[in-house]
Amino acid sequence: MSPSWDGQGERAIVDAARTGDESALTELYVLYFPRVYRYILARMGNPYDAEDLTEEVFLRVLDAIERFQWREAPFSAWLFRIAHNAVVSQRRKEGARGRSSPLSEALPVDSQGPEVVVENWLALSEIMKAAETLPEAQRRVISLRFAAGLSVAETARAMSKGEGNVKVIQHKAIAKLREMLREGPKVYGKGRV
Amino acid sequence: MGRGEFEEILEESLSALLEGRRSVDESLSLYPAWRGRLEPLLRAAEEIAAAFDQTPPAQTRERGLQRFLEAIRTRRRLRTILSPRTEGLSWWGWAPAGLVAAIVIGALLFLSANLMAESGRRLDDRVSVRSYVPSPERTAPPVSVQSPLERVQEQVAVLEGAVRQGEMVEVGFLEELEQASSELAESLEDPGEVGLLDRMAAVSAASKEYELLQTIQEQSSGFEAQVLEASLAAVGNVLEKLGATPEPEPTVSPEPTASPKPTASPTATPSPSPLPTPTPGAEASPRSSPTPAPAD
Repeated sequence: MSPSWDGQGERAIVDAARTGDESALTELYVLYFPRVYRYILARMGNPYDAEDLTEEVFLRVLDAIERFQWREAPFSAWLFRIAHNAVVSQRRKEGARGRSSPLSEALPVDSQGPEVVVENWLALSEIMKAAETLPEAQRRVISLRFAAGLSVAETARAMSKGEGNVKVIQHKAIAKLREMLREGPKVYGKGRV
Repeated sequence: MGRGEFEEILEESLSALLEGRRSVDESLSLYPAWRGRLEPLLRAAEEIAAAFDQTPPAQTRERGLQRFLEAIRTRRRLRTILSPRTEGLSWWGWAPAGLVAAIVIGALLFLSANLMAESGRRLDDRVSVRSYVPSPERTAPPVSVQSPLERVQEQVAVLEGAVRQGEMVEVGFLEELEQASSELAESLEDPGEVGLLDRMAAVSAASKEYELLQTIQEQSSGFEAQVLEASLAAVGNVLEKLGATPEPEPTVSPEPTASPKPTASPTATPSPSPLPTPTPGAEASPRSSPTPAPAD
């Protein structure tokens, strides 16, 4: 889930991307697209919203990357702040026009077998349902850590919180989710405790 | 061991799990003292991570990449259009374009100022306008409508021309002349309506009319003579109101051949006609034509 290159490699690519280098921008896109997609899916619960918003996030990145500065935050933290803002903006729009279709009604079509797809989406649906009861900070930590694959340090920067605080929030969120998943009906058998 | 230490162990085990460096069982074997608290959390974390491990559809990823690349190229084209020229041109390179731009901007400002001024004037007009109250002058008939005096003057001129030319005068024309004379007489009843100059002009016109009618009457008979008699009476009335009662025509011969009609005025004395005598062959008959065109 983490980037495949080290900090120096990422820095070089991001610096090149800031100058408009197409290959560098493409590399960032390829690397971060799945992570941004998962993060938005975890926050929105709808694959179609996740697809559209992920595209929008990268267009926003394209507009803003020239102004990115390393001293403020790691690139990933900066990128997921943009993703978070896109989610907030989308939720605001949904609040005005009504929520889109829930996760279980919007299964994506992919090359995976139908049984795998259904099982994965049922698992996600159950987690999402449990996560809805969590406080916003806990939901965000879970999404950044488990869906986006950020480290505790990156999550802390993305949320403008201390690392210790993020660890505590993470601990509470996992404990709460475990409790809820144990209480809820087991609709799938993948990796259950 | 404190709570902070467990947080650190949990985070370390969690990071190893999410990054694929260690399994849950391997972490539990590393921290056997914490196994009881650590295992349920790590199992739950493994479950959560598996649920969130969703792969975006390939076509979604590809479509998004194409749009992303297109956006990159669009921005690059814009940058190519704007940046190199602005950096490469010196001030004299900009001068012609700047001059043209200044002229265009100046022209636009000038036009805008004119338009604004015009709008302001229109606005002022709208503000200062008053409700329209038609005045008698504005609703009066057109200027072409003549006064009775003018009509008489005009018809007398026509009549004089016809008599001099030895042309015939129609009965209709004489009737119109009689009506105009009657209207002139009516207008003279109001002293304030006709001024002194107009009264003098009326005297002149009426006297001329009387003479001409008498001239024609000398050569008329029957119906024409009756019409002429009525016309003479009307113009005699005008002269009477003007205080210029026509005197009886002095006898040109010991036996007057045409005495003033009693209906005109008992004291009417037409002066001798200054008009030339119509030619013997030209018979001035009111019934005959051609007609001198009376003025409207």
